[in-house]
Amino acid sequence: MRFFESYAGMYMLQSVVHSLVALFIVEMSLRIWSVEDSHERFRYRLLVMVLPFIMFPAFQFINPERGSFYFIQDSALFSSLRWVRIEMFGKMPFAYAFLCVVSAVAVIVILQEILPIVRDRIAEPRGFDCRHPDPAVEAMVTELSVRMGVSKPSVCVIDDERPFIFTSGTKAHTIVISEPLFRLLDMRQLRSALAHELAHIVRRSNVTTLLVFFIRIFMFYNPVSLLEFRMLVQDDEHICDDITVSITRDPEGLASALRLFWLDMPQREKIRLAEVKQVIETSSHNLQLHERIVRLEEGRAFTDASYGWGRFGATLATIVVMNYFIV
Amino acid sequence: MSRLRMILLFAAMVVSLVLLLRFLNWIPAAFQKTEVRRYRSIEDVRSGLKIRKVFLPSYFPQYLTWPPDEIFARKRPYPLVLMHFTNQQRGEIAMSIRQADVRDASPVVSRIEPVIIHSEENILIKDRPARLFIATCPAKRACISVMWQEEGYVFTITAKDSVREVTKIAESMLSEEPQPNGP
Repeated sequence: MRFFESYAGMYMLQSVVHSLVALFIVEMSLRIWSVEDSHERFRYRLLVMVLPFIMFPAFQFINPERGSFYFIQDSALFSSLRWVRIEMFGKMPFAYAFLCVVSAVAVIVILQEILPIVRDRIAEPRGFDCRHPDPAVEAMVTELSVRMGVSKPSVCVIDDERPFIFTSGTKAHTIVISEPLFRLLDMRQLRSALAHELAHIVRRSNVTTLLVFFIRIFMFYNPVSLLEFRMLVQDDEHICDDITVSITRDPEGLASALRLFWLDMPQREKIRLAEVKQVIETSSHNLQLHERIVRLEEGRAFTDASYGWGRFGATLATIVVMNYFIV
Repeated sequence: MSRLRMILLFAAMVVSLVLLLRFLNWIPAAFQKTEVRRYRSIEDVRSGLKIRKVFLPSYFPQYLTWPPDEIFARKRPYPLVLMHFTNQQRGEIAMSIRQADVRDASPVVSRIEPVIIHSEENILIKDRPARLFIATCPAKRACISVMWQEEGYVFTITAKDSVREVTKIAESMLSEEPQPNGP
């Protein structure tokens, strides 16, 4: 298992261990410091994603002897190499277990993230007819944009039987709405949905998500990154819900609009193997929607808490210092 | 929850994590016999690892402390004993003696392993062929290293001392008659 002694092997092994330690510290900190504000939670969780990505090369740059025998003997709190080197009956079970886990995660990321992107790139570009919405909707977007302090994005209505709304673009934004939404949502719900999309523009969610996505793809083997990415996306939705409610003062309007995006599960006693992926994705989608709806209904959105930079700094310092001594 | 209580809880979480990591780090070292471990004395190495023979110098310069300041050893897959000796006045490591199995391709290096080799030559130590290195050790300190094989082991002495003293120490580790080189 010379691989684990190479730079790439050490990066892979240490970044996973660093992620686990960062995840533990962040989740414990969120509880200890009673962090309820979505903005703050998002920044804490960002630490779990970003720090393990950069810590190993930074530590090696600061101290090239960090992985040496004497560093492990004298200073290290934990050596992951010791575990992967464990031999039983001439085999290295922990090294194989680690490789199995990272391989499984890599397959999930490739199937779930990379392949669909490649497939979309290869497929014929699907043009869709984009038309302007009613003047009333345009006026609503203009009014909300002014209130939220962003330049008005273009609005594109497309013919598609599925109800959806999303924002595209990282510099020039476009809110894309499918036709059925105008039938399904009343003006109050539509206002909340549009405000939510504008909140994504205010937060530059597309840019942040793209950067975090790149880290996730780079650390395609890391199970913690896989988990954390989803939590970050969910936190981002919470933040945008909070911004929406702060503008519309209508949490029920947003909650009722979200209910329309509930997906139907296959209604059969036995689910075929081919449907498992769809069932998992639908359940996950519905679970996340449910959590957001409950949060809005319970009035947990829009808690204007003061930001605790001191406790954030303490958490950040603990993650960095502790991981320096984990090799 | 009061601020003080939060800070105390956070400190307790950090201490618990440190203890947990220390414990997890100890598990492989406790059960894995192939780990190089620190020993308190030569007797511990002999009794704990049952290494056939631990070679020690009978000539020992006055400025070095005895017993060794640090001993690292391992039995499997290949026996290894590495000792570090401290200069009494300076309080720094001034000599290391390594006894590594000839089959061991990458034995643990000394804390004062030469970083730059200035010259090397073949010499004889009690009729055994040996290699002498004039070098610079870490912290830009001049040092001498001598290496030879005996009874299936490769011996390396590295010291911040003169060639004469280092060869004298090496000679004091050997019997008059060369021993077979098998493991």
